[in-house]
Amino acid sequence: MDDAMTRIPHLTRRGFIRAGAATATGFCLSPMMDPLNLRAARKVNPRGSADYCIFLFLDGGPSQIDTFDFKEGHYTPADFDLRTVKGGMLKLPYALFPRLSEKLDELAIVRSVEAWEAGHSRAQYVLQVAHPVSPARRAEMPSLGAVIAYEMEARRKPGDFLPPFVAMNYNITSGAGIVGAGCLDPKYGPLAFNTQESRHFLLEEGERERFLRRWDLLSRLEQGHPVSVAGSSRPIEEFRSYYGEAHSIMMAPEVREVFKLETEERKRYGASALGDACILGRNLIAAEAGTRYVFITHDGWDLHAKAYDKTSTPNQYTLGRELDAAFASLLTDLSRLRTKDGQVLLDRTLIVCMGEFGRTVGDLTVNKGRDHHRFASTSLFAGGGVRGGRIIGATDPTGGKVVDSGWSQKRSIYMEDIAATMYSALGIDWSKKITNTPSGRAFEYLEPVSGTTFLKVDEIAPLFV
Amino acid sequence: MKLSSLLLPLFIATLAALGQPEDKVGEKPHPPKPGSGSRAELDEVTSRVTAGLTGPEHSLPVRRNNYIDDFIFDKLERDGIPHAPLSSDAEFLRRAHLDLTGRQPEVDKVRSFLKNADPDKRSRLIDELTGARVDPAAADHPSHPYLDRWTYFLCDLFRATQGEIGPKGRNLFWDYLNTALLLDVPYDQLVTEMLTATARSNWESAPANYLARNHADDADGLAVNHEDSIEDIAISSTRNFLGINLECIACHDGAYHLEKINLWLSRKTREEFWRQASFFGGIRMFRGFGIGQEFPVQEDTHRYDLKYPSVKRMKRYSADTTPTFLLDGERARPGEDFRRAYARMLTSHPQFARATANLIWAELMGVGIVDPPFEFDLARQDPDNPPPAPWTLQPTHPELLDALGKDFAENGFSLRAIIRRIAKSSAYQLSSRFPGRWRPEYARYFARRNAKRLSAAQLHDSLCQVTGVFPEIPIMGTDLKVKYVMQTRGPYDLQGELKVFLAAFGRSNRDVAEKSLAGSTVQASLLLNSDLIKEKVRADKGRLQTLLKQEPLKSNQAIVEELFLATLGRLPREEEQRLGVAQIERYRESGAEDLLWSLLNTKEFLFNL
Repeated sequence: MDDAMTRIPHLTRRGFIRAGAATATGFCLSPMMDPLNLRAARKVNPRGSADYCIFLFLDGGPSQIDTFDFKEGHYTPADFDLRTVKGGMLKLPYALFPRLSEKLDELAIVRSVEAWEAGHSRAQYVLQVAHPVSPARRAEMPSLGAVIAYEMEARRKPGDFLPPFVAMNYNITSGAGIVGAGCLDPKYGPLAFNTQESRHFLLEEGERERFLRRWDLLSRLEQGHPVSVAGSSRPIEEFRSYYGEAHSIMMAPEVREVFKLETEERKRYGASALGDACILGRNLIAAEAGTRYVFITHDGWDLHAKAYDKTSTPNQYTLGRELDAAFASLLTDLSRLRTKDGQVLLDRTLIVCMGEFGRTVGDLTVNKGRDHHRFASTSLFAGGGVRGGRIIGATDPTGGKVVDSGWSQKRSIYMEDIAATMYSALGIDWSKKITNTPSGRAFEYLEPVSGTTFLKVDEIAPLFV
Repeated sequence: MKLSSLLLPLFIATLAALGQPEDKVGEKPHPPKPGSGSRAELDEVTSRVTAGLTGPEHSLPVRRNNYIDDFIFDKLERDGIPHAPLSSDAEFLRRAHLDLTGRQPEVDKVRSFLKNADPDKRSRLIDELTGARVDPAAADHPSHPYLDRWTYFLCDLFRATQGEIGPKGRNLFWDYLNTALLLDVPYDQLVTEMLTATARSNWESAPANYLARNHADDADGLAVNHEDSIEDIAISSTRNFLGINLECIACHDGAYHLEKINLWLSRKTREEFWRQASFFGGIRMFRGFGIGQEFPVQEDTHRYDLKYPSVKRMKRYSADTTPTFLLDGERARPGEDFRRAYARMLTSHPQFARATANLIWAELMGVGIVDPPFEFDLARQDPDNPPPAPWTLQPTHPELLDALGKDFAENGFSLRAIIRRIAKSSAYQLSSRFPGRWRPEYARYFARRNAKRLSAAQLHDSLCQVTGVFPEIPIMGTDLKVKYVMQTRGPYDLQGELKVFLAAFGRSNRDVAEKSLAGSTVQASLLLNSDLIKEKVRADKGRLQTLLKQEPLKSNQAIVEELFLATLGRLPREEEQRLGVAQIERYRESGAEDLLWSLLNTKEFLFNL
């Protein structure tokens, strides 16, 4: 029964267009729920070492032992070109990661990560939300991106025209989908699109005049409509603000730069959907115009079959190289770019790269692939205060089991801890909770309980030391 | 001077004046009397003002068409709450088409309906739209919009996706549900069939797909976790068919957790949940055919191993797991099959009929009598036995909900009959416009129509229908191609730009991402500037091509009229007519494209008002 908003001012056409500009800065038209934020008893000290975060989500779950927790076996293809790099620090398949091999000084590799779930949908939900799947609460659970957007609201500047949370190339046929704002105001939900469709926000030069002509006609048609006059309803008013929002992004002079994909640059980033998303992610953040969290999906890592078979796409090689080119170029560019106040952009941008779980170890399966495995996986961290050139945690000789968690706690690292790390870097107190949710169940940013057990959640402090 | 600019301020001023008395402290608003009294006066004033804008229909009296109206309007009257006038014929026609069949009314249909003077034409229309019947003479039954729309609804409800039951399972299940709707199979029978199914394979036997879909993978992602699966079946069946959410007590007792959320569940324990799930302890589901989504669904010896590790829920402990129905403690009769017993208790419990009627009500009215429809609190249903303070009764209209449930049961659990009953009430047919000052608390009275954004499938199909530009969507695992998303068998059928479009508009993926009618900036950008839209409004395609090229050539006036009828299901107002004609006169074909594009971007098009 939320069809209750009557305090939204009626907008004349001029007001509508002005509101479009206003919402770009404040997203102010959407009705506020005024979340009531209470601090939990436990004291935490967020470090605030980053202003932005890019999450590279390797959809499907990459094999840890074929990537950054490499375990050589008779199954290892010869043309992986296995090399020991960084003064013996680690072995990796050079053929897959030639450029990231040069970037290890920027990367912290965490090998002691475990997932709670072994099915994609649920595991991907946990990866986005850092809470167990609970249909009872799902509708009001915000994703990490939405919480970040909500927390970053206070830091929005006049003139910011980009949305706080952008998600690109997420899988939409199955799985968890992209998780939105939950109990928070819908404006904190993601601007979610596939890179091929980012052009919706761009008007071709030849189209601009015609678009304005149509927009004008639309505005005139809607001007006198009773829907907009008498007791209009909240969803309709909300839609008005979404139109204003889309319009102001389309009209912003800088938008062409942000959504530009040039052939040469695409090539450098690997000419893939992931590469494109990383270019746009870089631009969105470098614009310093409101975007704080970019969630990028790299599809295809669910290699149950023919993992090393180059005739079957995607395979370990194609995926590895796509990630290599995109991630390495992103690191290069972010370390060259400066923020407006002169800091290295990478120093202010935390990058997290991981899948929803790991994969089975040892020989390939009968299908020549690897199945889901939740007991060990590897996550990569860079920028935003993370000290690179290190490996944290260790697995057993097979790579299937965590033997050294590598941090203060004796247990493996879970998504909850990674979320705490992200919140901490961004200066967000992760012990907060919101009490006035629609259902009455409090939303804790992070809970001391997973779906199956209790745990003491903490940030991965060694990353920053 | 434009007509609308003259009328508009007058309209606003009048409404403001009308809204005044309700604001004065101590002065009670006049009691509304459908069809008479002050409410009618108000309607009359409003209708005089709006007559020039929307036609004269607003003076239609709000008749009491069936028992639903007695409950709704009696309560409005008792509490002195004003309500919206009856929807205009055009509003009603579009609404009924969208709600009952998922599609827009065709232009000819709009014209003939508006002209039709039959006082019972609304009721006849509802019968017609929901009238899919078996024709004994026909060799084949072509797809029917009513069947497609409600099959889609059931597939969303049961989360039927090939990701879980394979393309064959999903197609078979779709056919089964579509046919059940065609035959109007009593819903209790349908549910019983699904809950008691056994099959060598869910790819061979349709009803087994309900259970197969609820299989839960074990930690290795290959084996089926028996205990998690039977608990999932208990949760899903209690949710879908009784409107009760057992997720919480599946992990812990209600006490100390649910006191502020659900009074009834706060008194239930995890062990009682296990005893509910235990009815399914005899099911044996496994991947009999390697990796994949084909499952034998067998009945075997009863088993509920509470020591077996769950991949979803907190550790279990030993307890009595004698199958016991959660709602009333009933147990299977001697010799009675457990699943059959469960289906019997479930479908014969009044809550089954109430929850289902409420679900249909929510789908048609936009919000349930109990809302959300899967969060029933059984301790807060009975007006004769109200819950202790500070709790209040949960349904907005408890007696109405009981009556709907009884009606549904007495009509042989016919989904078609309950859909018709609701749609025929004046309560369903109120306008979404509210002349006067709307107050949040009126929503609980259903004092006006709840405007809903078109669902993803409705929107896509409407765009195709009104532009006359359709895709060919191949149905996976068949040779079939369909024109409407509402006819697809699952989210995997949608590829490329269709997939992006549908996902952006919140279609359920029948997995973890549920259907959503929430808006977004991306949705606006898609409607403004996607290739999908740009392709559909081209003058050399579909409806526009026909309109612009067909001999004898149509006047610009006629073209504008036709586009309004096709998109918004109504005639243009004077000012709109003028704007449309001017655009075409000035920019020719390209102006007609502009008009169509603009109409598709109006909120009036985007919403089911």
